[in-house]
Amino acid sequence: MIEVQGLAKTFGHVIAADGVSFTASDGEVTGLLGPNGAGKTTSMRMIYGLAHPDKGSVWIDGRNCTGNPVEVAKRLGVLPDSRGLYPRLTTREHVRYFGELHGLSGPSLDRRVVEVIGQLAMERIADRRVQGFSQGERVKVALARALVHDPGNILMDEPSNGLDVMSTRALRALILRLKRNGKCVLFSSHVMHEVAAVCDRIVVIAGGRVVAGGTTDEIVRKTGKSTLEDAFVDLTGSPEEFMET
Amino acid sequence: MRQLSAICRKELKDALRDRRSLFAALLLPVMVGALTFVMFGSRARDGRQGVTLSIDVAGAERAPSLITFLRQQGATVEAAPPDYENRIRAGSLDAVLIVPERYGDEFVSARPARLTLVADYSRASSLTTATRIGAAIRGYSGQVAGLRLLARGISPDIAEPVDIQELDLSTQKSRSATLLSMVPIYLLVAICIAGLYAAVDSTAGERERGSLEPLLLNPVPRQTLVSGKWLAVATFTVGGFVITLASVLLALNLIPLEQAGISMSLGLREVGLLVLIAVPLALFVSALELMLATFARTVREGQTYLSVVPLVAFLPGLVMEANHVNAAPWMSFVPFLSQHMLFSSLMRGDTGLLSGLVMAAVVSVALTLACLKSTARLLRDETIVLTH
Repeated sequence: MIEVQGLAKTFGHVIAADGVSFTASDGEVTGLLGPNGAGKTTSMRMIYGLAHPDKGSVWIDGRNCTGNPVEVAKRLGVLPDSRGLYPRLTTREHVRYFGELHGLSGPSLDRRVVEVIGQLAMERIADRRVQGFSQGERVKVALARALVHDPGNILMDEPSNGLDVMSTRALRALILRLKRNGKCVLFSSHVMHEVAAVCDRIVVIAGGRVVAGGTTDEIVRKTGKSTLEDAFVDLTGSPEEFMET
Repeated sequence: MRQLSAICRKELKDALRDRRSLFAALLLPVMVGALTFVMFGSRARDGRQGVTLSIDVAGAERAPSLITFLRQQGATVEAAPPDYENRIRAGSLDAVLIVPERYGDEFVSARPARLTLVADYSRASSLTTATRIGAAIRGYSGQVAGLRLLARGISPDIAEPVDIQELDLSTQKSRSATLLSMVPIYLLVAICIAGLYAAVDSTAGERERGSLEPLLLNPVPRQTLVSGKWLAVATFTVGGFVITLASVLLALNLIPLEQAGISMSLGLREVGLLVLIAVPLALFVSALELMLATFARTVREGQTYLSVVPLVAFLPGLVMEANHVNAAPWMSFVPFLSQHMLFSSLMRGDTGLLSGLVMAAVVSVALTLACLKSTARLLRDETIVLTH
């Protein structure tokens, strides 16, 4: 479970996050929906501890993890905004490396590496160096290494960016499987139908602030619109407001 | 500890699969060895000529007294091969002195007896030999002229209004010292280059590829992360140094140094001391390179930053030696300079400065720790972690 309370962050004169608060529960998929530049990536980075919030706190599984990246890393599996790979290492070596960094070793490491590679259907590319992989394959490798330590909370920053239809479907299936296994899944996106398709709860973020939260139906009802898209446009406001962020 | 070794093993594996890193650590030292061989080897050949002048003469039997004179001067005289012109052109023969048939008649009748000296002045060794043969013959000519003047009751001094005495101050020893002073520079540059690409790839490379952010999302303290990367880079640096040292020693062993007038005895003890001096510096250079390259966003930028390191390494020592500044105790506190001085004194067989070894090592280790600490601090800095 991830609880975020009043996260605020400014870069110079730019307010990236202005009191972001929400909760993402276990066994649910929570979508962080917002236009480009709304503060999604900054909020994500503050949760996974690489950006230091000016104000606010992050609670993971009931523990205050603000400003403690090592503690955060044990409890989170993250597909961050930048998902670079090591071109000279194979898929398996990537997954093993991150497993070792999470303290896995011996048979339990071997077992997890095989499991994750199987979950993501990567047996065919497991022992190939990642140089020259397609975008979909690269995201799979990045996901595999993020999941190798079997984290209870999974964060994905714009996971479907650059993926083709088949890869997007596979990603959606993975997210739903993680949810069935009782994980807390939080992912950010600016693509509405993607969020609507898999999320139990949606947090709409604009101008660094949370402007709405709840199920799709709740958000649509609250804004008095007929579709999520209309509600989204209504909530995120005029283009001028984007400029501030 | 397990994390540390995982990081170090991954970086080593990654670097060993990288052609540039391998090139820097392995091929460059071999090239340095080859360069040593060529430089010292040519000096050895020059030195050989310095010992005895060997003259190839065609028609030596027509000028017995000249040949006797040349032999008295310490030259060895051999019969020139028939195809001498081609050989000189090809460079396998330096110069040939030709005594024509009418030489005897001309000499007896006190007319200028013509000799021909065939050489290729565009080649340094041919020019040297020809010049020396010419000087020897002018000496003979002067002697004969003097005798002829004496026979006519005239002092030979009349024919010699000016007397030039040549005094060559470049002794073999000083020339060999200049050459030996190159070896410490080779070693310093090897230390700076061997781990350079590995350092850039594991810092600026991580930023450029966007793999730093995911890496930092593992529950690894920054200090452990930096230490693991440093261990891998230091392995390359020390390895590259050892290979360079071995190739230089091999090259020096293959060359008949005593013929070049170079006296250098590097025994097992001296080699051990060289390694002992180098390792702390190698540890420091690895940490320094990691730190500097962390500032760079791209591999190219990192390489630009680090290209300064080899210059900083050997320039101060080189300038000091060029200006004949003697080693002073304060130099032990200056990294690179202290190792330069220690290397040089060891090459000269002078062990008086070795007391500075410990201080130089302490300074290097202290700077290593400082660099590792500030690199870890850099990896907590958002502007470095989150921009790529």
